[in-house]
Amino acid sequence: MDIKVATRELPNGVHLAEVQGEIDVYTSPKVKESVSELIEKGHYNLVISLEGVRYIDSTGLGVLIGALKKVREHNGSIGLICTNPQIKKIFNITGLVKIFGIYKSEEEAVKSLV
Amino acid sequence: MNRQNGDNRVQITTPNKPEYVGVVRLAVAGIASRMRFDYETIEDLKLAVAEAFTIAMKGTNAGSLIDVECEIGMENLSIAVRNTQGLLSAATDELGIFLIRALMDEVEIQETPRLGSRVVMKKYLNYAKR
Repeated sequence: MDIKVATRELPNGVHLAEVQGEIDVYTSPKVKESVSELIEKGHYNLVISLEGVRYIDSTGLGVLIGALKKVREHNGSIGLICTNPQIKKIFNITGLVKIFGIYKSEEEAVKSLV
Repeated sequence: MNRQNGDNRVQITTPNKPEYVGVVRLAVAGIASRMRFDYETIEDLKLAVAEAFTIAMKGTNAGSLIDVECEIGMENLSIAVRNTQGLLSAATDELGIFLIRALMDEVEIQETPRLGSRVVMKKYLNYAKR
């Protein structure tokens, strides 16, 4: 079971983390490490793309919540890109849809952060 | 799959290691698929069993095992998850338990003198829903 996280810089100082694979108790440490690395480098406005994510559980949600807490301490924010209905359902059930901005595209997510 | 007697049982025992959560998830998806649960329900079952596996993993020593017992009934799939030390951190893992309760039709944290505690959850086939 593989998880891949690719990061790159977007316009206006926003940074993108593109996650691909399944985020569970086994793979979430890798996601946490990659996102934490961005935050430690001082990038507090992040877009995390879940477009390549086929599955996420509570440990994955925990990583996203932890990252949001950290960037908010520096007046930053996180926009999520997600169109998979099954993943969106998890955000709805848990109420996280009210905490995270969830967008359909990179452009929309970046726009929300700047 | 013969479900006439309603007594088909599949038991999976894995090491208490996170890399096995995917194995359990896929096994449950396979069972649910053969029972003709729809795609969305299979996804819900995968998540619920993975959450129970994660709860069972926490707070136990390496070297213990996780038992996942699927009982294939006429109208439902019942899944029981426990670790061999009989300890569950369900009370402290609120998000995991919350998700299981939201996705499954019936959920119980059972305390048994012999086996310790375990998460038991049930999902009914659509036609059997009350």
